[in-house]
Amino acid sequence: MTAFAATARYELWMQLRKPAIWIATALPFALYALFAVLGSDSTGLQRYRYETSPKVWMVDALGWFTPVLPMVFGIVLADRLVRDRKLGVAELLDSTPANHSARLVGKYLGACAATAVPVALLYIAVALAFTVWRGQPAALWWGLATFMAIVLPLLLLAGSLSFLGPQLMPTPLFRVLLVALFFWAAATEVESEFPSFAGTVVSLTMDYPLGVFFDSPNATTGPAGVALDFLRPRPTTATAALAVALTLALAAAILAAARALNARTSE
Amino acid sequence: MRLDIVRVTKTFRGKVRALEEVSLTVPGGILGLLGANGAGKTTLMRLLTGLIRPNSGQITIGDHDMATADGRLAVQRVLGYLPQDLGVYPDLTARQFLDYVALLKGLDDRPYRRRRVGELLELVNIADAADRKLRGYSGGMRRRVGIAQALLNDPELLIVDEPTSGLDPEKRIRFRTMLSQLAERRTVLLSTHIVDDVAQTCTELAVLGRGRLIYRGTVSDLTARANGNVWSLVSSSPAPTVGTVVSALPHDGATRYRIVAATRPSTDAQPIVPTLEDGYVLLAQQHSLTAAESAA
Repeated sequence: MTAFAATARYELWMQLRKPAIWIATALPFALYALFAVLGSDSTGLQRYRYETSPKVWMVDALGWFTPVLPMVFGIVLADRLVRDRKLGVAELLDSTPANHSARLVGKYLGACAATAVPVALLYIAVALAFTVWRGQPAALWWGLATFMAIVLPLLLLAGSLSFLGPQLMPTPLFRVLLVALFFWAAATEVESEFPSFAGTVVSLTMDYPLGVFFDSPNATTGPAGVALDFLRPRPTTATAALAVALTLALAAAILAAARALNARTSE
Repeated sequence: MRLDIVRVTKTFRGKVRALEEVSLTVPGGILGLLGANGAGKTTLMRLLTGLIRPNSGQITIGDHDMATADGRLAVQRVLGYLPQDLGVYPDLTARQFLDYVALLKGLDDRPYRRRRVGELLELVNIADAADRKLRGYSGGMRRRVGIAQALLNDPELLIVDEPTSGLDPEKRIRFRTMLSQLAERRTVLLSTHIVDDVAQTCTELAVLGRGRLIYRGTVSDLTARANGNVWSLVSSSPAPTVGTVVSALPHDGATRYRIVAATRPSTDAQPIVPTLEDGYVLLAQQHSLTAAESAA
């Protein structure tokens, strides 16, 4: 078994047994669900009483999962890399012949996979709920598609930030900044007075794939006549795919920076 | 496996000089590495494991040049290392932790890996607790897990840094015996500040002081150096100020002092047979004196 597979396996195992990942995911979701149940006809679950489209249901459900859950995901993952050094395990593992990059990527994917399990289970539950309610198993397929195209890239990005950030600053400070980043990304509008990446191909609300692939009415895409418009091309399949690719590439670049910094810290 | 360390210097963050021009050869067998805290022992161990690289000098282990990535990898394949501050994953059991380290060491064959982990759990006497989470382990038990992981790949080169700290006397004796047996067919580097561990395990030793190699030779030679410099004095007066008091034991209403000093500390003092600890203390005294003279 390679260093990558061994590390991924054990990291997955350790992280899955951490109660924090279950609590931290369930709590915001439960609050969101509570507000939805108690909400009015226009904001609560009541507005779906005549809904029969599994696509609309699952795309709307994304509002429950982004950006709060990727943010929570990042918060929970923030201790994974730095804890090896805190626990005193890093020196021992670094002295093995296992490739360091393979170990880091294994750790990243193992921890991300484990932390994504509660999110994925909730998402499956939402899809199953619609399937049972409306007798539309296609909700499961739309669930899979939206999870892969929207939720997963955001989770991977949040995970890579959590591998880099705590190496640059104390973990609690990183967690605060991560919350600020996701709130800023979700709260600012294209025409906002604040600098904003809203409605761009690197938006943390994934507007391009949401709008192009899933026809989300909440997605903001295309030139808006404001700053950073070069990041707001005309919405097409290519630009939507580019947005997903850019999110994944950004995650990979941040992870590479985390690896380089980790190697320097080991010296 | 032969170790050649040639004029190695290691400085941290451009200021703290942990090792200075250290040259040392270990042809094989077991070598004790003694030194006070901060003498540079751990830095030397970390250089030999490839965790850090020297600022200057050369380290060759077997045929492998530690300045190259290939050389470091080749050494790490045959290395067993017990770091001074060994940590473990508290949420894994000892068996899982050893399995994980074994995988990282390249023990891919599952039946062999399981058998090997089982053997080592028996060897370090924690088989009964093997499936308990490490969170509940005492310091001594964690140390034994550390010893087991170092032996997983049946290493040709075993580097152990303060291996007996945290072990009770019985486990310490058992570990020392095991270490001597292991040295019959491999190179073992035992770094410690516990002189007795070296006295009971090694015939050869090196002593580091303030980042420099201040002794390389046999245990008996270092012990013999203290001949005529170790004294026993029974006194009810305060401890003598001459030399270093190595021990003070109550004796018939007075105190029996064991003193290492170049000159007789008192007219009542009687010369006695030195131990390795006496030789080490004398060496440290001489080195401090030399360092002070150099500074002056």
